[in-house]
Amino acid sequence: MNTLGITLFLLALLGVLLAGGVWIAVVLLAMGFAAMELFTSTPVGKLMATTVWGSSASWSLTALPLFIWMGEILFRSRISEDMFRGLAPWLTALPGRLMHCNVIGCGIFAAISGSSAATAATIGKMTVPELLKRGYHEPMVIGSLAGAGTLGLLIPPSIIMIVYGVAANVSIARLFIAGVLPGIMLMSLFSGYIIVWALLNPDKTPPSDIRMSFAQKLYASRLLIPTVLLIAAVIGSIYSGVATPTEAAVLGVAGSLILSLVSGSLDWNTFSDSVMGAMRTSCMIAFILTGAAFLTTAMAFTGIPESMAAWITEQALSPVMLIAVLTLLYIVLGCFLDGISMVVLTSAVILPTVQAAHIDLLWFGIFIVLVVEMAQITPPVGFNLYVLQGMTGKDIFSIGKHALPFFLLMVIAVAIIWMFPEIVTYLPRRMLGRG
Amino acid sequence: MRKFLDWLYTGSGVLAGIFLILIAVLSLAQISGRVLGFAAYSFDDFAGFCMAASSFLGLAHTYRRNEHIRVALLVDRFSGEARRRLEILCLAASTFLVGFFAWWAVDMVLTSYQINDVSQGLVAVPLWLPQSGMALGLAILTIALFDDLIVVLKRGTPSYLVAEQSKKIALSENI
Repeated sequence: MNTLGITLFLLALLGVLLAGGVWIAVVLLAMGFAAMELFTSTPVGKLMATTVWGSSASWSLTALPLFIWMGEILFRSRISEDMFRGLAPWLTALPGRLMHCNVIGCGIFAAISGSSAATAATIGKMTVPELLKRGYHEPMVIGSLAGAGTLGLLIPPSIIMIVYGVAANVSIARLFIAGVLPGIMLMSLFSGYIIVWALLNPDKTPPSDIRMSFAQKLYASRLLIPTVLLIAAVIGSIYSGVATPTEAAVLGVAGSLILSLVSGSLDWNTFSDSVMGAMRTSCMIAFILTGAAFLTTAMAFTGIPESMAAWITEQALSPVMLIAVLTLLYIVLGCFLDGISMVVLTSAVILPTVQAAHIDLLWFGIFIVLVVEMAQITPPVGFNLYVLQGMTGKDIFSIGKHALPFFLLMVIAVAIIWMFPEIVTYLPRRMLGRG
Repeated sequence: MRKFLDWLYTGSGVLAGIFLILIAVLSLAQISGRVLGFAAYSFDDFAGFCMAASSFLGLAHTYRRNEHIRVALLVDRFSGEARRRLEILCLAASTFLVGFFAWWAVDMVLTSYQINDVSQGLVAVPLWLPQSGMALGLAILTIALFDDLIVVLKRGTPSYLVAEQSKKIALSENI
């Protein structure tokens, strides 16, 4: 059978298995299995076991469970209350007032958490009830939290960057640092939109109920100190080259354990819950990575990614067209697939094409993170939507509608980093020590 | 039998949790070693082995808590007999594939044992030892999948749907 035939068959298999509700990791294994069993004469079983072992027993992957664990500990601590109380006095003067707590709070929490759903859940735990109680416009509260929660992926540490870094063989430390400026840019876009919206709809923002002197505000900010220290330990140690991502993660775990011990929210139950919760999430991701590692190898045997890369090169598609097409493809995929599956499918099939088009894999990593962020808030499948559904009881589609302006801001962010790639590459080039 | 299986799933899950803590302990020891000036030989390797052990031993427990991702969009639209048949197909296909995978993982462990394969680091570890964690975890997941296949064939509710139900109830009580 020719390459086109194989490709169509595998695509059909992918569609049937996914729609049939087979677990995604198993779907990836099945695709690799079918590709090799039907189209090559290589013994499948041996290759499956050795490929997977090689990719699973990996030291760079150990940052993954540690960062997840750190997030689980902090989610169970008092950090979200402290952050709200520390931030609110400063933000209440801006147009849009406490709505900025969603954006700034998520942005700060993103710097100690690697997941978008955890960021939205931790910050929303405090802001959603507080803001709705004060009479803020509900669609904007929900939309801004859904959008800003996705910053958890872009601002380091980031689970999805670890997954991409391991799958595409790009330095995780450099990816982390590359996400800092785009993350700040996205926060400014979100906050800017809230300001503009508040100025256009002056009657929809309740008056400020916080009266504090400057000294009182400063005193309230002391609650932010532990968080800032954690950020400095994690991102600072990576940027300065003192620590690898794994070591930074373990510093983060130790720091958050001390933090919750001091604040009195750590006991045996919360500790073991946090370990088991982190283990399950990391296990779920590792299983998908397992399937992806095997699929990538199997795909290389069939030669599909290479011929696709060659075909795209023949079409003389300009890089900007390629990125535009990929953005559209990912937006459609993101409606039905979760981010991790999108990234691993990409690494198995699309990376050779991207390399053939001479697109920097570090830049492409940040691009992927941005489109995965969009996927988190596009219905019917998106983790942030589930979190917000649990929190507000609204249905997925109306939450998706409230989040639409923030989705569009992310599309603009993709366009901006395309036009000014230095936003991505500037900091990694300046990093000290080992990349 | 039921009791033994539940114990097996939970036990391997707890073991996976312990390996996760071990990753943290090893990395912490490595940092301390650098600061205090003692050499932590091959700790990178050990942490990687713990990673594999934690990932695979936790599979069955994670599966029964319904935390492995699937696209349930279409499946959820079916109910009754049609839904049951779909779940049977899913479970049968998954049992076969994961079983095949587990079989070859065991084969890999045996081969490593026979040829005395050791790790590359300064401290040479016989590879069959950490590899058994992967084989064992996959075998337990195969058992868990087969277990649910039998349950559905007997017209019961599979573990992951039970877990999904109880999560929905917990969530609605919170709101």
